[in-house]
Amino acid sequence: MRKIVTAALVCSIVFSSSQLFADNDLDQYKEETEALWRTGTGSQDGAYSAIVVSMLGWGLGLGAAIAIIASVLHQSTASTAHTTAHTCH
Amino acid sequence: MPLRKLFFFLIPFALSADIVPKETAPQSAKHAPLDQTSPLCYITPPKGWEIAASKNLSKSVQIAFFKKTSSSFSPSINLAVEKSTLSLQEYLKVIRKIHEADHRNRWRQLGKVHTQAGIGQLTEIDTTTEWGSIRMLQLIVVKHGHAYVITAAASKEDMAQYYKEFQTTFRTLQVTSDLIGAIPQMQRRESLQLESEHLLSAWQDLLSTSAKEASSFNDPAFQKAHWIPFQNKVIQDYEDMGAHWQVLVLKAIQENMLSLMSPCEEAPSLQNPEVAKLPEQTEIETKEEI
Repeated sequence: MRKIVTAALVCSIVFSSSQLFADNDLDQYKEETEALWRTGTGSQDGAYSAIVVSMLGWGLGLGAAIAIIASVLHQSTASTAHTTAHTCH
Repeated sequence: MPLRKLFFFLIPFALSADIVPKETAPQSAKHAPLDQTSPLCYITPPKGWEIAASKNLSKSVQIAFFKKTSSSFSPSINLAVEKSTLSLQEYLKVIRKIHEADHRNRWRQLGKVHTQAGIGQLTEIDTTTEWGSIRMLQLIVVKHGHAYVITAAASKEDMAQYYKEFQTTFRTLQVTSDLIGAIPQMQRRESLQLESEHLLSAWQDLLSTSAKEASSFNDPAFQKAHWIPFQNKVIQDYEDMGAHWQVLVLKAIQENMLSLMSPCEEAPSLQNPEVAKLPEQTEIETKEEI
């Protein structure tokens, strides 16, 4: 009886240990696969961000151009209104 | 019989003993955040270029600059960093596969470029978008377990116009663990070192006396007397070091100051509303990846 209990105990510990080993190996494989999967993100992110920034840069340039035109138009309208007001008087 | 008992008793220990170091040791090193293990890197952009808002950048991109133009596609340049155990040639093979997977891309390897951080490989990616043909030059430097990638983009027809500026920027790539040590003149190096020591000393004095320690950094008196003058000094007196270096210096000092606070205290936001804008800067936001 004691032999059976001891054998069962040893078997259960051995199985749980081997499961831990397997989990450990799996984790290691998972990490290595993920690292390989992630390789090249610097290049990909760089290319993607370069296009995004260049597009937005154009948008900012366009915004600045619109703002300049708007201010010129505003000044022009204001001076015309001022002249018109003078003429009406 | 006692020997057999001892044998059965020892087997489980012998089996489990090997597991412990495997489970604990390598994982902590592998999952260490980038900011703790990676050295600081920076580029000096061409004069007149602006810093792009960090919210528009991908995770591994540290900083990006662009030039405002009237053309439909502004030239831009950015610096990305990733952890990599591969050699330069292996890394190039991987990224070639990635870029060529998209049939609109054409990837080719150009020559070597000497940077301040070492020799890098220049590559070219041509792609077609809704806005026309785009050419990207990508410089890759592999050093100390990291791949440093500088990407410069412009429309295909504008590339010749900006090529020289891109090349100059590529050569400025610097990887260092000592930002102040990167200043070429000894007198200026010592001056900034001294200023930063004064700032830290003032900060420590404030921490030891202030009742509301968590909000000390945003304390108007401290800001006016110490932080803003220091910040202005970095911006005005070290303009030649470039906007990226200036951002890194200010961020490093700020983090150093916050680290002096006890961990139980709530750290104030790194973003200070009164931060004076750097020259040629549209927006500055602290990036955790740096």
